[in-house]
Order: sequence, then C-alpha cells, then structure tokens
Amino acid sequence: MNARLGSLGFGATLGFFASLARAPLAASIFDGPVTSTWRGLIWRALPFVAAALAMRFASARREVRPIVLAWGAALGFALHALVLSPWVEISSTLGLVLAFVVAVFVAGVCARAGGDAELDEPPNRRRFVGILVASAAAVVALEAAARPLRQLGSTADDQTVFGLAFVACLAIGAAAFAGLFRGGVAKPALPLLVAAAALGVWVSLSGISDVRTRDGLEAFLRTGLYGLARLDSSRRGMFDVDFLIGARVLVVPAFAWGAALACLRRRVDLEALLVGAALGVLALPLGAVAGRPIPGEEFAYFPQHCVVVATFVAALSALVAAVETPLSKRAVLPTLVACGLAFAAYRLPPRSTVVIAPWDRFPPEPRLWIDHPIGLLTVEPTLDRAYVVALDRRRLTAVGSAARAEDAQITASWRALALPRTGVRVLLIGQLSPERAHLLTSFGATTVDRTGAWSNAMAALEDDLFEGAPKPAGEILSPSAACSRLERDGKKAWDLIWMPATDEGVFDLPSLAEERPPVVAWQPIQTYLADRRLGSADDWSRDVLLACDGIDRIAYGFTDARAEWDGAPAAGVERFRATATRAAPLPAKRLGTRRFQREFDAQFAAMERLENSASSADSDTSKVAQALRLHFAAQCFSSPFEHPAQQVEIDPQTLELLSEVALAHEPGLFVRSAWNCFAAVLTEKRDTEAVFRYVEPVANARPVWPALERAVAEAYLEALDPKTAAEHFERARAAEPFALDGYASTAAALIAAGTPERAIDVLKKALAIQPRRRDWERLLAIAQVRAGDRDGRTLIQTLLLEDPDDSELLPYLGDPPFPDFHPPLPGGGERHH
Amino acid sequence: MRFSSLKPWLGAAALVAVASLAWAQIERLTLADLATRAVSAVDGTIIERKVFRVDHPVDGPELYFTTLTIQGQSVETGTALTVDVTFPGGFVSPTEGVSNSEAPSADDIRIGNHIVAFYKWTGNMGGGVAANQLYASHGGLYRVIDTKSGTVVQGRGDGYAVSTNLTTSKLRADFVALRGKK
Repeated sequence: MNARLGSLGFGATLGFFASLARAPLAASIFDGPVTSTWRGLIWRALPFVAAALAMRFASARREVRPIVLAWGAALGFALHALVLSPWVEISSTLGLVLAFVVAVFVAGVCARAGGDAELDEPPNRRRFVGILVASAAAVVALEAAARPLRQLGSTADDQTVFGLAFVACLAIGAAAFAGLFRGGVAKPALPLLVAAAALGVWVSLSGISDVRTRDGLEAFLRTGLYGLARLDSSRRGMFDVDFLIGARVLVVPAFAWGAALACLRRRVDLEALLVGAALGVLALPLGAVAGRPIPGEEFAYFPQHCVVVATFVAALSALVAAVETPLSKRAVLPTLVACGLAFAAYRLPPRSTVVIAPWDRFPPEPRLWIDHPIGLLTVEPTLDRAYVVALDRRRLTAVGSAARAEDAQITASWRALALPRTGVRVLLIGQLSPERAHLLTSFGATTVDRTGAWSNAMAALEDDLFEGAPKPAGEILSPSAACSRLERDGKKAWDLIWMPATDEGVFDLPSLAEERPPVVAWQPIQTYLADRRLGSADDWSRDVLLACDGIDRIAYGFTDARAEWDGAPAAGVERFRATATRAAPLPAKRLGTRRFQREFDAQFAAMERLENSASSADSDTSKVAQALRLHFAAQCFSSPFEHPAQQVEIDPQTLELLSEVALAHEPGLFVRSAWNCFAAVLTEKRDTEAVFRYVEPVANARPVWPALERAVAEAYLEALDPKTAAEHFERARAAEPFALDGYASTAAALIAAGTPERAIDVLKKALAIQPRRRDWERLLAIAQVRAGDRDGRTLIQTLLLEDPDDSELLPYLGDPPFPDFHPPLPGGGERHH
Repeated sequence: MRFSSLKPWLGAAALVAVASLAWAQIERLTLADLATRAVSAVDGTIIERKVFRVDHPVDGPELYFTTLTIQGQSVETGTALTVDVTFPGGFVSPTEGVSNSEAPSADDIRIGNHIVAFYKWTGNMGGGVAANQLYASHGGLYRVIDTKSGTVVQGRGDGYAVSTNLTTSKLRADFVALRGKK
C-alpha cells in the first residue's frame, strides 16, 4: 500500500469512526432521553485517541499525505453518516470497545503504509506540547460555535449534516490552501493556523448572529446559493438547508483546520493534533456553566468570551510550537502573527448568539437559561402562556395537548401495572413540572423522586416552574445515585419507574436486572422506532403499551414488568408485541424528505412493526395494529387552510377493523381512546354517513360511552332528526353529568325537537352549577319564550340590554310564530369565516 | 396530516392577486343573492377531478385550477346534467401546486361525493381560463348526506347561501321560488 492510499485509508477510518462513535441516548436509562455529559464526551474523543494510537504504532518516518487524509476523513464520515448508519451502529460500551480496537488496527495498518519521509531534524517535545495545547484550545473554541448551532438543529440528523459540512469544508480547505504553505513555511504555519482556526470561530459566531432571527434566516436561505436554489425555513431539517447553515457557520474554522492539515509533514505533528483534539473534547465542560442559571444577556455573549480565551491560549501555544529559537530573526514573523491573533480576538466586536427557534412566527423568550454541558436548558413560555423546559429546543416537559397525552400514558401505565390509588413511590426519569406533579399525585403517587443527566440543574428548573407552589415529596437523584439505590433496594426502591415521552430522542434501553420495579419508557411514534432493538435480548419489545391523545399523538410505552404480568392479563389495557423490526430508511433518503413526511413514515413504520409482530392468537391486537397501519398509510399532506380534523385522512378499512374489535369484546383503554379520537374527527369533518355506519353500532353495543353518543347525536342533528339526537345527548350527559358543555347541546336538540319545556329543565340544572353563562342563558330565554314562559321575555330583554347587537333574539320579543330554531353546526360552522 | 410551509401562503397571496380579475372569491351571501345573480346550480355526484396548470404571460406562471365533473340534475329545472365546475387551487403532483384558502376542502371534493354546487360561466377566471366557475369558492359547494328521511344539504353557517342543513327538496323549492321572483 503506498503512502497516498495509506493516508486515504487512515483518514477514512478516522472519519468513519467519528460518525460511528455517537453515544446512544439513555445508554443508562437513568440519564433520560439524552446522553450524559461524560459518556458523550468520551465517545466523541475516542476516534481521535484511536487515530493517535495508530499513529504512535507507525514509524515516525512514514510519509503523510495530508490532503488525501483530509478527503479520506470526509469520505469516511459521509459513508457512515449517509449510507451505512442503519446497519453499522454502536449501542453499548462493549460495542464501542470493539469498534475502538478495530479502528486502531485498521488505522495502524494504513499508517504503516508508504515510504519514509525525509526528516530534517528530530521531533521535539516543546513543539509537540505546543501543537497539542493549541489543538485543544481550538476544539474548545469550535464548541463555542457548535452549541448555538445546535439550537438551529438538535436532532441526530441535523448534527450529522453539520458534521458533514465541517469535514467537507476541511477537505476543501486542505486542498485549496496547500499551495500557500510550501517548503519551510509549512512547519511554523501549522500551529499558527490552528490558532487561526480558534479565532475563526468568531466568524462562525457572526454567521450565527446573522441567522438567529426569522428575517435573517429566511434572507440567508433564499440567497445562500446565489439564486441557484431558493430555500426557505420550511425545509428545516433537510439536507440542503442544514448543510448550508452548517457550512455558513463553520466554513472559516474548517478552512483554517484544513490549511493546518495541509501543512502537515510529519506524523508526530498529526499525533499532537489528534491528542490535542481529544483533550479539547474532554475539556469542553469547562466552557459551560453547569447547573447554574445565568442571565440571558450574559449567555448571549458567553461563546465570544470562550473564543477570546481559547484564542489567547491557542496563540500562545502556537508561538511556543512555531518558534524554535526565540529572539532569532526567524521568530519575528511567527511572533507577530501570534500576537496579531491574540490582539484580534481581544478587539473583535461582540456577537450575540442567542438562537431561539427563528423559524417560528412567535419565538418564545425564555425566562431562565442554564448553559449545561449536555446542552442549553431554558424555561420558556408557550403560546397558551404555560411554561415548559426545553433542552436544545426539545421540550422536556409537557403542557396543553402534550400534557393530555401524558395523562393517557400514565393512565395506561397505572392500570396495566394495577398500581394502587395511594401510596405509590415513583421515580420520574425526566423533568418534574407542576403538570406532572399534579398528574402523578392525582393517580396516587406519594413520593416522586426524579433523575436525569441534568439532575444538577433540576432544582433551579423546578424552583422556576413551581414559583413557590409546593412540590410533591421526593428528592432529586443523580443517575448514579438512582442506579445505586436500585441495586441496593431492588424492587423495594420504587413502585414505578416512568420515563415520559419527549419530542425527539429515539433511544436504546439497556437490559435491567431481574429484581427491579416495573419500568415504563414512553416514546412518541413520530420518532423512527421501527428499527430499534431494545435491550440485549430485545426484552423491551415484548410488551408495548399504546397511549394516545388525538390520533396523531400516539406513543409506545416500552414496558419491563414481566414479573408482574406473567400469567395475568393487564386489566383492560392492551399489550402489543413489537419484536419484528424493519430496516430504517437510508439517511441520505431520509434527509431528502421534509420533517412532516418523516413523521408520516415513522408513524406508519411503527404500526407496521406492531402488525408484523402480532401473534395470530391475539386477533384483537393484530386488527388494531393493522387498522392503525392503514390509517397512517392514508395520511398525506393537507392544505394548511383546512382545520385539524379536515387534515386527517380516514381510511374506511381502519374504522371497519376497529369496529370489529370494539364489537367483539369489551374494548380496552387504547381502543376506547382511539374511538373517542375518530368519533371527534368524524364529527368535525361532518362525515355523518361514517358516523352512522361505524360509530353508531359501537355506541349501541357498548352503552355508557359518552364520546360516541355525542358523535351520534351530532350526526342525527345534521340529519334533521333532533328528537333522536336529544336522546343520545341525554345518554352522554347521564354518563358524564359534570361535562357541562353537554347541557347546551342537549337543550338545543330539545328545542329543535319541539320540546322546549325539557330544555328548560336541563338548562336550569346547568346554570345551577355554573351561573351567569350567557350562552346558556340565551338558550334558556329562547326555550322559555317558545314554551310560553313569561320569564323568557324578561330574560331576552336583559340579554339585549347587555348586547344590543344580538339580533337573533329580537324575534322573541314579538309574538309567535317564531323562526325555525337551528342548533349550532358541529364546530360552530365553517372556520374560515 | 398537517403541513407547514410558506409556499401555500405565497401561493395564496398570488391567488388573491389573480382573483382580482374575477369576482370576489368569497362574499357574504344568501340563497336569494345566488338566485338573482344568474347563477346555475347542480345537484349531483362528483365523478371526476382534475387539476391543471396555466402559465400566463400577463397573470403569471404557475396558476393552478381544479375542475370537478359533476353528474346529476339541474337544481332549477330537474333535468339531467353533467357539468364541469372549476375553482382556483390544487396540486398536479404532491410537490407541484398551490393551496387556496378559499377552496373547498379535500373532504368536500372527494370523488363519489354527492354535492350541490352553484356556478357561473366566466370568460376569464385568471390566466385566460374560461369555465363554469364555482361561485364564491367553497361558499358555492355543499355536501349532501343520505339520511333515513331523505337527502339533506349540509349548510355552512352564518353568511353562507345555505347556512343551515335543509332537505334537497326544500333547497330546490326555495331556489326555484327565488329565481321566479328575479
């Protein structure tokens, strides 16, 4: 093997391993759906360590071809990241060790290739240390740009593309600038270029500053390719946009690194660069203020401070490495350059790098910022004025419809595990919030311990979220403390270990010891789950719960509770098998599809996994899985002007299968939830024929099902049969007497059916519960006038005094006949107007 | 499922500009208004749906229109009728087209749907397209459902020509009566 091939192979091995060595989320379940700080850093540093070790085993005299090496690294990274990652991945420490050994071996073989280079002098320790420290400082500086860049894309796919942009620019820089540093210039230039890479991060911060607002991002995307292709933020998460943003931010430091690589002439220098890079990665936590809230204004300029300090260190180290004989003529230029770099870092204008969702119309303004080693933690408001915790733009807590989805998850978990309604000790792997505290305590939790990779920041986050309100009993545990308690107490440690679903984060779940409490880890099916084998024996996939709030918000509940379940069916809660995995799509293909299409694909694949895993002995779960697969196969993009129900495509076969399940046996929790969702969607869509065909038989067969009764009632109203509609509304109201909106619907149907006296009774009961509701008083007045009750006219007059523009009431001041009464349309009529 | 993109908003803005060449795309109407404006009406089933694109030198490129072929009978005369009715908006492929904020929803225009549609011939809907234009966009199209007591037209609420649900026979009778008063 000649030197060129050897360098190519060495670079490719380094690049391949760098892409491969991505620490899985929740490698320890107690970290939560994130990667713990040190595990992530060690995984990231190992490729550099492997390459340095391989270099150490080769002769120091072997020739280096730096440009080929740089291109090899880019190609190796791209090969794994875009093509091979579905089949070649590491999900355990043992796997990482094996990969490390193989990488060292292969890189070592490549490093030994080629002929001997001419050494003009022996390598010296001062230069080695100088390059090492400069390299470490430059990596720390680079992280100052990588952290805000992560706010523009924090998923694994986004990070992959940003990494690709960096290595591509590095390879281009190596080829482009090699001609400038020939001969004797290369040797002193190498460390100075590494220091320049640290300073170049300031340009990265400027780039981030330019795109951190909505207008800035859109303007950049539209013009970023000089009119060759007009991009926009709707393509966020796709390869072209992510690559463009990554290149814009990282181009200058990547070029500087490339130019530094092009100056490589000796392996010992490469070894110093690699070891320095590894140390720089491990030193990254120094650049974050772990656990402590910092003001937003301070955070905005924090990366710039890091760049300044790192450039100083890099410049000083580079000077030490570049100057062999201080106070000589040859030392003048390197000294001037190093001083220039340090001075420039000191004098460069500050750049704010706060990036909060520039693609949103109304980006939130966080009220709490924590720059944690695992990422940026914020407490920020939502559009409906609740507060959530986000980690690099991924929500760790749930409000609104997501909170209702968690309610469904906890309901399924509690019932499936037959937990009591009081005295339950819970370990929450995640962030405690007032909503979660209320949810858990209402189900019967008396203590809620919590843990996660950001446990040292949890107290500050909780104090902000709870705002002085009492928290449930329980303590914050570090992941290691939680693990120790589990090992010490076994099943007595807690009654339930719960990991709620979060926005992103497909994670692997390790196998747990036999003696431990039941664990339920939830993941939303919008993240691609179909290819994940979970646990060493795929033991997590044998029992999967489903929970939903809205048919597009389904989550898998991976459950490890065999000891509790063996031999006993989970009461009224369906359990699915998910052992039949399927291949993930090629990353290159996935990155070419829009985010919403990826969600469709993920949802479909998740349901196909359930269908393929279903045992023929259990026809109900098989039919449910098939029904959901058909449902998600039918989804396609909809006009943004349609309301949410109109944007859901309904496959009749889905309803047919769910009907069969609901009619054959008493439906379980998930089937009930799914039917509630479909009934509501069909009502909003005004698809009365589907309601009569599919919903009504189930409602008739399974009495006391309020959601279905309401859907059938609305359908009969549409069909101009208010009498039958009123009967169904009454049944729903009888089952849920405190669902107050049911009173108005019932009364409206009774008035339309010509029985205003009964409507009066219903409305008086409602107003006794909640007085002075104008919409009920209005209906009551109409019913009273139609029934010939004098009080009605008085009430009409009062209402008109309050709102003289309510012209629909005017006829009721006169004499009969009155205009036909029409109950309100489902959803209040067209949403457009 | 949901779709988030700026393109439909831009497309909608373009359509607003094009729509200035035709009547106002959506306006507050009563059935009497429709009856007096020489608007025709068909009660039938959608048997075909086509989307086409027009690139016009004056009105601009990428103008998309949807044509529904409706087979049924005239609301006014009761005679058999098959008519093509067109409105702006639609997609020729999953990535090529435009969403129109005033167009009927996908649920409304499924093939096989029984509908009542109000339309009027126009010589230029924009882009030089001459066709029977759906009057008042989605305000001119109403779904019809089969019930135990006959077929019912689903109203769209206050401000629409058919604001509440009513039987097709009543709609026909009202429309004819109003047309007779014209």
